[in-house]
Amino acid sequence: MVPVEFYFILACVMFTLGLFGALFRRNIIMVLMSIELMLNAVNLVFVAAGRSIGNVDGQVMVLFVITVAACEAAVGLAMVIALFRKYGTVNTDILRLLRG
Amino acid sequence: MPDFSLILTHGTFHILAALITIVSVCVVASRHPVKSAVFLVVDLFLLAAVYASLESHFVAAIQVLVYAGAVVVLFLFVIMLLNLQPDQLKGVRFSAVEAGTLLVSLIGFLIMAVTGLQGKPTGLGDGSLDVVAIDAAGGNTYVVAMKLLTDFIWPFELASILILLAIVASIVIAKKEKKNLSA
Amino acid sequence: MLWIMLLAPLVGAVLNGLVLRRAPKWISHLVAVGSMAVAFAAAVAVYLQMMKSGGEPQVYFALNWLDAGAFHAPFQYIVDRLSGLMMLVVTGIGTLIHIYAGGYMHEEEKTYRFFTYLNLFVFMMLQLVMGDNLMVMFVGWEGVGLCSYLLIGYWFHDDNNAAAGMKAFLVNRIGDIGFLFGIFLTYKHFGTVSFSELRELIGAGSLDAVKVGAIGWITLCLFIGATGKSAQLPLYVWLPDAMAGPTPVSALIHAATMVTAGIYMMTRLNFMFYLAPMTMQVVAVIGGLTAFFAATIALVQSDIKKVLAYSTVSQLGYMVMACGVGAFEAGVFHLFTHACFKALMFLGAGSVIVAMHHEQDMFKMGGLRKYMPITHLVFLVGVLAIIGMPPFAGFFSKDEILWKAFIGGGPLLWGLGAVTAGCTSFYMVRLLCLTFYGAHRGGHHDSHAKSHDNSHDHHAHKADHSHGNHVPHETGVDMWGPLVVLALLSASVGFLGVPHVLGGHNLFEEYLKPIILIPESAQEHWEFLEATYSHNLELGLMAASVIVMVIASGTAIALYGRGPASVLTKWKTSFAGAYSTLSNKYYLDEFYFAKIVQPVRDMAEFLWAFVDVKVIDGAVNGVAELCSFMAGSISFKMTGSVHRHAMVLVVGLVCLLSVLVFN
Repeated sequence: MVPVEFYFILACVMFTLGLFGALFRRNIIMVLMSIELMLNAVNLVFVAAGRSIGNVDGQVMVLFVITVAACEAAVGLAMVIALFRKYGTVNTDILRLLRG
Repeated sequence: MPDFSLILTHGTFHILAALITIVSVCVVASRHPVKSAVFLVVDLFLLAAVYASLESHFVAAIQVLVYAGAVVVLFLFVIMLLNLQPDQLKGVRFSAVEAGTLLVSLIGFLIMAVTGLQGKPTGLGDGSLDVVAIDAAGGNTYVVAMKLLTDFIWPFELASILILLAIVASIVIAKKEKKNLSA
Repeated sequence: MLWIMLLAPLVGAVLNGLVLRRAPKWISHLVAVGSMAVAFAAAVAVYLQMMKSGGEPQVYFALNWLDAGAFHAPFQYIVDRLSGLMMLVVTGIGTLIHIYAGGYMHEEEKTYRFFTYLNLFVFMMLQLVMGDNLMVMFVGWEGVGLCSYLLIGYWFHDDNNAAAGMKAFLVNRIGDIGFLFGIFLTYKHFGTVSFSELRELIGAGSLDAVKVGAIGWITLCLFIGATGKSAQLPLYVWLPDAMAGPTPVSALIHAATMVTAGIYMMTRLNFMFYLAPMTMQVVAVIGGLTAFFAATIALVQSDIKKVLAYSTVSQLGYMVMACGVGAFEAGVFHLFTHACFKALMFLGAGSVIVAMHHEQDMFKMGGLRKYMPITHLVFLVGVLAIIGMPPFAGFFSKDEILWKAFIGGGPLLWGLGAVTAGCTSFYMVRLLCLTFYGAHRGGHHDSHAKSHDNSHDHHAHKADHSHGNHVPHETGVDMWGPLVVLALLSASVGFLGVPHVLGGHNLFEEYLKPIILIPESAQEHWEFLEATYSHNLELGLMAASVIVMVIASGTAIALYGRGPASVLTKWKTSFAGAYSTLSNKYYLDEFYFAKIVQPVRDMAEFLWAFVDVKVIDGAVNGVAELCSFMAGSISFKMTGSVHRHAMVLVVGLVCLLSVLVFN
């Protein structure tokens, strides 16, 4: 097996890319997709670590993460639709009620 | 005689890793949302391959079925529904300070991942999974299922409730506001 | 039994003050008089019981009060010859005055407040005289000061009355500081504040020089307290103003009981004062000067109550002087007799004032002998007593003091006392003549005349103006009844102290002898070696004072017997300077106001305008401004951009994790 650190590094790279996307994209849908990318990185960490410990706990965790990610994506997209109805665009500039 | 199995596993991993990185960059950097979604699908398939190489067959299958097959499809539905155009402005817009800060954080992550773990006892084993034992026990899926439905039964049930909540929530949030039909 | 006496007045006060607010007036009066009568009966019982056992002091413990480390001050009471006497005076004369007060206050609509305060006063006074340690005495000391304030300012709707009450309280307070210091020093040097223990410690034997020096300071501090409470120079200024209160208050508090607290305290601690000759000199001199001072002021006063007030100050000066020369028994004797006849005269004056519809200016009275015969008779007895006409009470007590002053303080002190006695005779006879003899000068009754006694706007008397020239009439029996009792007392109690030289046994002095304790180290200084002074000298001095009294009284009768003589107006203009100085009380009040009160006021004003408004308010407001400013300067950073939030989150997370990892 490949040393587990390599998987971690890969996961970190994915995570950071997703982070960049989430912070700097101007489109809310793109932000959500970047978040999915981050979640996948986490999944990778779980699987790799679980494998190297020697039991299947990691994989079980991954199942839960996928579940939660799906729910979150659903609700998030519903919110995007509602926002689109209200503002007519999905640019992140519309999210500024906390200004001041 | 070089150890071909070792070369194969390592080589597989490295190729997959490189591809994943490139595709991830494409996901994040594409201007058209549909392109990003497609790249995401590819990314998920590649990850499934990685899981498979880690003897986690069940998770790999689930990844493809649920993640790539449902979540991303959902994304595409919404993108189509909203008829999103490619981002007008440049896809990524940031000031120097912000970019610098993020770069530092990236490097930080990497450093932490690598140096933090090197030389420390991580409690992780050497990674040798007893494949024979698992096969004897009924296969990877069987073992995962057993774990899920005995040790992790509570989270399992709660997760199903969570899905229910998510369904209700997304319906409620995305509902069209009823217009007043008074004459 | 003792508890009944102590608590009856308190019960009366509580009932009147809390329960019986809406009851008719006679019920309030009844409760007040009833509680006093009960107290008096109990006092008599306790007194007899004590005397039966030979007059030995009996200590009664009530409950633990202060108990801090080595400092013990329980509520403990001592019944001995001195406190027994005092408690009889307080409850007895108090009862008489309570009876009288019902009649005096009949114009008032609501009297429950008055009787509450009056009963409360008696309760506090009993604490003062019965307490076995300095702390209980101080409780009573302060308590009577409080009740005095409440009662002086009883008609507080008139600002003058309220101000008089404040003045009494504040001036007393100044004296109380001295008293407190005395208590502190006593505890510091002797470790106890209990009278019994102090008597043992100090009276017993020889003390080292440090302690004796300390005693000098202690006695001085305690005397300062006495100066305030017993109206000596320079803190007597509150007593004349206290006449703003109802007359029964003046009688009870400012004649018979509260003002005697200082003398009582000094007698209680006589063993200490004997060890402090310097303080005693101060005491004697202040007493003599006060007596003289006040008597001169009384010569030219026209308000009947003011004359009596200054007379009280003067007589208190006598008592203090007696203590100062070491004749505590004489001082207490005069206290006793003075309580009788001064209360009598105050109450008599009250009857006169009521009959004259609250007119207090003597020059508007006159000829009341015809209209108020009983009041005139009892008042005459009182005057004869105070001027020292034998065989009335004042003769024996005053002469005792003068004699002791002569042999203990020298002829100068005696001379001061004698001149004062002359003045006393003069102004008292003057008062008598102006009030009761001659033609009635009160033509029209103007109840709006300047009177300090009356300040309420609504009183039933408005109806009385319908008949113009009102003829004064005798008061009811509920008012002259107590006066008669007091007159009988004034006439007879003198015989308790007939001195040896006149063939008597001086029962009073013998009675109080066990109280007096002259410590060994001071004995040779204080023993009155009566043997070295001839009896003839004593008789001669006695005769001299009688002659002075006769001359002074004769002069007064000549000048005022048929109303103010015309020669007086001539003298007023020729001696204008002296006259105005005296009638303005030597300008002492003005002096105090300018030198003490005004600077305090100015400082208070400064503290308010500058410190409070600018500094403190400025600081508080400044903090608020600072917060607001800081908020304003930061608020622009809240862009509301989600991205920014997320980025800051990430940066923070990285920092946190790096700390954890690299630790």
